[in-house]
Amino acid sequence: MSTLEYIIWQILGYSAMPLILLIGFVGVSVFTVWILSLTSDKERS
Amino acid sequence: MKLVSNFWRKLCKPSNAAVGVVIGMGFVGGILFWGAFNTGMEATNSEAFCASCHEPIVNEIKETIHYSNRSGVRAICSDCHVPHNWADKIVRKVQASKEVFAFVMGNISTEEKFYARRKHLALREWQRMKENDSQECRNCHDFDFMDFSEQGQRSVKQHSTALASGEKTCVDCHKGIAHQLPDMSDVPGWQ
Ligand code: HEC
Ligand code: HEC
Ligand code: HEC
Ligand code: HEC
Repeated sequence: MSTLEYIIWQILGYSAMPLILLIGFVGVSVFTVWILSLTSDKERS
Repeated sequence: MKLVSNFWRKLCKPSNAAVGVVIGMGFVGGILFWGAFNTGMEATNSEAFCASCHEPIVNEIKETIHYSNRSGVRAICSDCHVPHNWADKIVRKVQASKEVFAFVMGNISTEEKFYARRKHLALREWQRMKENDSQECRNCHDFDFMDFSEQGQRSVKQHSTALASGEKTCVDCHKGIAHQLPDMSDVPGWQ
């Protein structure tokens, strides 16, 4: 692997971690809001 | 777009549900996500998964000591090729997305193409293991617990000198331990 390739993959690899956490957060929030909207909770008031 | 703004509005609107319920849902959701993520990581570490693209290699390995031996301990692909430590593992997995791309490009789509490209790939793997001091081997083979009185003379001679001093690492000497070697001309130390 050339140094440039190495640097690129290292950056991509490490930036994947916060991305995974973020996607997890968004995923869970979508799921939770969906569940809550099944009840009357999220109705326009 | 409407969907997103709709979602955002709902997300920002305080819930009428008890705080405990909301926290509980976040908690359960977190566990589900974690579980799904881990399952995905496990599945992409299995031999069956690697075999879907590396068929010739899987056939070769059945002849070697890491497939079948008197102790019945097996090393599978990921034991040697995927780091165990979480951060390194993620980095390697992300790098492996390049393999998917190479697969689509058909880099090793036939056995001939694979054998032609093999040396290049082997050199990359040796380089990787040199850089991490053969960490994957050491996960199972711990130098500190090698009993020289149990090893053959040839082993002791090398292990107690070049290996002990840190001058060489496992793959410097143990090449082709799990696979057939590529063409070894002009690899340092090999005829
Ligand atoms: C989508 C198909 C696919 C899967 C699944 C796959 N690989 Fe690969 N792999 C490839 C291709 C294609 C290459 C060749 C890359 C190239 O030509 O640059 C490769 C190359 C490699 C290399 C050579 C070293 C390197 O840096 O390129 C290793 C080691 C490897 N794979 C191990 C594994 C292991 C271990 C698994 C299972 C956890 C696995 N692969 C799963 C397609 C795959
Ligand atoms: C999953 C654990 C595991 C990993 C990872 C592993 N090994 Fe092994 N290795 C074993 C076992 C188990 C044996 C066989 C022990 C026995 O029954 O003799 C073995 C045997 C060997 C032998 C002895 C061969 C012989 O003919 O006596 C060598 C050399 C060796 N391994 C080198 C390596 C190298 C180099 C690596 C890293 C690329 C590695 N091993 C990674 C578990 C592992
Ligand atoms: C300087 C070269 C060198 C290095 C570095 C080295 N080995 Fe060896 N190893 C040898 C030689 C030579 C043998 C003997 C092979 C034979 O007799 O067929 C051997 C044999 C072995 C055996 C079989 C032992 C026996 O006598 O039954 C194991 C297991 C092994 N090595 C594991 C490792 C591991 C794990 C590492 C890295 C931590 C390592 N070696 C690093 C040269 C080396
Ligand atoms: C005992 C450790 C070990 C196991 C188990 C292992 N490999 Fe390897 N692999 C290596 C080493 C070391 C290299 C570097 C080349 C060499 O020494 O043969 C390598 C090289 C490779 C390469 C690069 C091309 C080549 O042939 O050199 C690919 C692809 C690969 N391995 C895939 C796999 C797959 C797929 C599996 C599971 C069926 C697997 N490996 C199991 C240690 C291992």
